[in-house]
Amino acid sequence: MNDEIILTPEQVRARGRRNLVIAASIAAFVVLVFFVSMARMTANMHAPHPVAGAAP
Amino acid sequence: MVDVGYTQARPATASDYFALLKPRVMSLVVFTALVGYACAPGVNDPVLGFAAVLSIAIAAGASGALNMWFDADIDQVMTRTRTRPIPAGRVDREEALMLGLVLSGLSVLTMLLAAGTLAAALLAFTIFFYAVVYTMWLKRSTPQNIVIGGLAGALPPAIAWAAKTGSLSLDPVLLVAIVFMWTPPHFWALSLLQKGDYAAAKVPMLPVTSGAKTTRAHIFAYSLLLAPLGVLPAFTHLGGMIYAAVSFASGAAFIFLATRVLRSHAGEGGAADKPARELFGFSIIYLFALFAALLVDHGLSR
Repeated sequence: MNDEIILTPEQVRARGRRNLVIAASIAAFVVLVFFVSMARMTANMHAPHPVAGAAP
Repeated sequence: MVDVGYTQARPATASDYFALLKPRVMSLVVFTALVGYACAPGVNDPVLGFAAVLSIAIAAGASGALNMWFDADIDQVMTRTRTRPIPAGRVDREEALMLGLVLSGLSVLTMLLAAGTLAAALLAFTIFFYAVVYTMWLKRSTPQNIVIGGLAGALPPAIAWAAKTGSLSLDPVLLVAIVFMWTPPHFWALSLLQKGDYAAAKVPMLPVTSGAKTTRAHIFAYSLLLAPLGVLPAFTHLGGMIYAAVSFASGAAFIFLATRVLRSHAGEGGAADKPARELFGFSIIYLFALFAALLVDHGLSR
């Protein structure tokens, strides 16, 4: 008995399109995390820093 | 060999998964969150602001997907929701669940990275409140479902405020209170029009459990509370002159339309439903107008 699923050509095309959208979403998430990290680091660079060893 | 060609009406497209995110609800959430972010004190950071509002939008979408996963049986029965991706047979329930869970995790994580713990915790609470407290519990058990559940839809401006400032104050709480008080008359006006659908799906909406007359009285009572609440930001310096004028005029119009609903036989079918339809349409314009006025006032004061 063979349980292999055979997709119709239309289903294969639909799966390809869905995969493209998923890939684009993951790429967009990576770019977002990069820019958010940059923005956070820039903001922290400009924030006042406590001097090491100074009294609180 | 298994041919799965017959199991679906047509193969699912990306737009079917997007429909799971309830884009129309998302647009309102994005707008109120955007206004909450813009009006909060401090410097607008375009990248962090974009990430915060996007996180809120994705979280709202995730909540929508979880709602469609759990409510597939109700959606199957109601005319308004019958064409949604799950009841229409284009997307499996389990896929909606996984999409909802993955997007919930990613949205809270992104908020944590972009804005810190308070905003991320509020966002996680909002998803939990909508998906678990409202969808799984309140919706099927009490006619006060949308009153209490409305908190989930009301929180986005406060989350955005917390994302920018790291704290909360009276002003974001006022914004939450306005959306919270707006939700019952908005949804009850809709439920008057779809009373039969809710009854068929056994959802205990107020018109089903207490009748159209009681619902009309409730709509009127909440409208009387909403209109003055809507004017309050003009007195806390959150809104300016434009906000004062818009909130006063649109609040008066809201009460006028709610009075017409009160005096009508809306919810009893046919032409009698017209006042409820008008109030429902106006309620959307009302909320957009209030938040747009805040944005304009805030832009002018800079």
